[in-house]
Amino acid sequence: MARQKPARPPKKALKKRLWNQRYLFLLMIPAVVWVALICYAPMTGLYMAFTNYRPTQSGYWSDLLNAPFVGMDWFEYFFQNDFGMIMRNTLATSLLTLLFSFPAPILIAVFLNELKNMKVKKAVQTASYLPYFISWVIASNIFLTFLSGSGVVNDLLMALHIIDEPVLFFQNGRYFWWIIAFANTWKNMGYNAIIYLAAISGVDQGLYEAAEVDGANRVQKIWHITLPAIRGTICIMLILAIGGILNTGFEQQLLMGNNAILNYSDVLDTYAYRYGLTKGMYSYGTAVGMFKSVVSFILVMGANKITSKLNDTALF
Amino acid sequence: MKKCRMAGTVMLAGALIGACSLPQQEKAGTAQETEGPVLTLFDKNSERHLFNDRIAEEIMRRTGVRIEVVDSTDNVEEQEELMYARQDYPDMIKVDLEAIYKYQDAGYLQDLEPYLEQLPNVRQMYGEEMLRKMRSPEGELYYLGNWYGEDLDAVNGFQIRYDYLVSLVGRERADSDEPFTQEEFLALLRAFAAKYPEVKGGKAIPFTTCLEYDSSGTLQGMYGMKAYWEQDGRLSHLVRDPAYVKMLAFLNEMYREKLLDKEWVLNREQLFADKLKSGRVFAVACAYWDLSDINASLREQEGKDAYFACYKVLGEGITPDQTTYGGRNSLGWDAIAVTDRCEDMDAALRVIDFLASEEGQYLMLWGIEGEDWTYEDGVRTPSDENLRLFSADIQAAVEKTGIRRWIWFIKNGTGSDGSPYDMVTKYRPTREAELANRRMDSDYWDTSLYMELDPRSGTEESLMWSDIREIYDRNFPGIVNADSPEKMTELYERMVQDMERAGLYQVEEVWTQNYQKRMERWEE
Repeated sequence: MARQKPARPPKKALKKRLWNQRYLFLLMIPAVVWVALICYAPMTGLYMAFTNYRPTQSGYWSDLLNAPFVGMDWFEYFFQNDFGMIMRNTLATSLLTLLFSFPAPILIAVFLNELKNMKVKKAVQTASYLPYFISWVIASNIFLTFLSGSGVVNDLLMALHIIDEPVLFFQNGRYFWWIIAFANTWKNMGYNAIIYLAAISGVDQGLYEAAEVDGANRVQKIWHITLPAIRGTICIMLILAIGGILNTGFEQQLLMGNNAILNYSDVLDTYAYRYGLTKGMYSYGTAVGMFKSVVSFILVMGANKITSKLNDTALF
Repeated sequence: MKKCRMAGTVMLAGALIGACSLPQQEKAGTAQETEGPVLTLFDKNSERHLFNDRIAEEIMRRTGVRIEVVDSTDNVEEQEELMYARQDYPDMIKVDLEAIYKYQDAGYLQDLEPYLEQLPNVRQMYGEEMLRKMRSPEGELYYLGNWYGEDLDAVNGFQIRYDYLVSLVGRERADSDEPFTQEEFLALLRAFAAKYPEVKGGKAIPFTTCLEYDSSGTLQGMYGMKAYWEQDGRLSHLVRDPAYVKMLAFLNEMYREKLLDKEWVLNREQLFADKLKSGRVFAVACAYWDLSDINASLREQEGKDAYFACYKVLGEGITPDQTTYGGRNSLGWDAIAVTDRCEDMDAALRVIDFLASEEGQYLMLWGIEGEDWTYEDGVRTPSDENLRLFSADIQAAVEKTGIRRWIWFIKNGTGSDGSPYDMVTKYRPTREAELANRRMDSDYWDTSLYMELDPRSGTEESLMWSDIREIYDRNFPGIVNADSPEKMTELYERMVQDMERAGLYQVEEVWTQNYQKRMERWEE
């Protein structure tokens, strides 16, 4: 059925509506100011990516506006040099993370929902949230210690005679991608499960009762009631996850990486940080960061379009 | 009831606001206590301490200037970069020389040359020769070095566990100052691995390094290398030096024979310290002072002979007088500069001149006269209590006394009465310092000749140099960890080719030109 274009409200009616909602608009002002100042105003600095910026005593704005314009040179430089390696690392880590961290909170939420013993349920819930509140500095140290040559994991593998020599997990780049994916999942799955639990709590209990009358077992109830009911939430979370596919992490790579595996651990954020801040190549760092933002934007829009076509569920 | 609730909420909010703002009020109160000008300062070594200990108070009392040290945060390098990028730096900065040159290039520093008349102590203590070297090619004086002047004391070396060494070669050889040859050192590592396969239930580690300490200074010093490979006045990257390949082969041999810690690329300060304190490590490459806390802990746990002592190891084909373990910059380890944010130049000059004076030096490094030291027969003598504190645990003593916490404009050498400026390390050197100074007495070389030669930021060559360093950093661990000597050579050659493709020749040309200009200027 063709959609009918909604009729435009007359000007007078719009004015009246705005006036009637004046207090709501008033309440919105702080948020608008915050977004403008924190999210949009710094974007003016993106101009740096098209210049050869060098700080001098003239001040930031003067330096930025008077910096030699170099067009797309920094982007070209990135594509000609480390683009392939950095994108490979970013995507490999992200896709592996997505593979584990996307279904993990759904499974946790569904299983928690099925638990009848409240004490066990609360204990599991708390244990799964806890890693989210641990800083990456501590979390990285836990992983570095557990996976070191003399760590628990190697000791266990050797005690079980699976290996003869300790595996140097942090000196083999390919292990690093898996370690980061696992660490990301471990840290975030409990917290992300809250969203799904909230969605599940809104499911009409009558559906479960009706299914029980029809003789449905537990798995059938999950498959035919719970999962379809939270489909919308799953789609929204997927859109957000795809949009953030290039946000594969920063602290974890920085803290767990080392020079021996830099060819595998370096992702867009760590690369932009290293060049932009530690090497003082501000314009280049900005260009790499801008590239990431543009691609992320395209990915969000694309994922939003696809899910809205498939499921009638979209962010906007 | 409603009113009661409202009043309760208001009181609670007031209490919260009051609690949140309490430290700031205290701080403001402290600042107002001392009248006179206020200077803000960034000190990369402040370790987040406030400028409020007894020595700091004395400095402020004598200069009449209130000094506020800005928070250096836990990541000093990042903080320094952020201050630079945001142009949000204080009145004065104490940072590495490399950072000083960056600030200087950006025009953030004030030229002290026109103010030298107001700095009589600076002129006297630094001397014209030293100031001339610190000046820019255009004649401006943008910084004053910290720990400046020639210091022949040891820097790097191989630090070997003395008690283990005695058990392997006997006390006589362990006490001898005679250097070990490369082969002898490797034989020692093998002997240790054979005799102590496990220590306290953990696998023994014959040799390791720490990422935060300068192990390259030791390994390059062993083969007589300096900052660059110099041939007929032309500077090249060290990777071109034939001695560098020997050094790689030495490291690779250790790695293949499992004498080098498999996790050497992961050893940050804490992990490194844990390994050494566990007693599993036989030898390391660093400066002797890097291990002072570790030695104190080992002695406490395992007895007086359980400590790391400094030894010289001779690279293949190197004689004892050819090693270069003692690279020091006569212009200083770091430097202090006045930025263009400083509006009260008189206050800054007053502080600089006082701290650079002999009086200021002894206040920072010895403490307060009458409390921390006295004159005995015309010679400064530290109190027994302070000597005891500093010989037991330097870090704890610094925390307790404030002595040596603030180290600005420090001069190497001795004062007018013949006592060393640096009481803590030079008045009564530790056993480790004594051994290191004796065994490395011919190793001093001045690194100042080779500083600030890199291409200027913003140039094409500086971009090349960034890439070259990146290639080097990424490849070095793989070369050391190669499975065979052939593989090592292959990876090394590939790295050099990559560096050349990235523009190594052009960068070397810049180094050489800058070096020649420097030599001409200094020889004038």
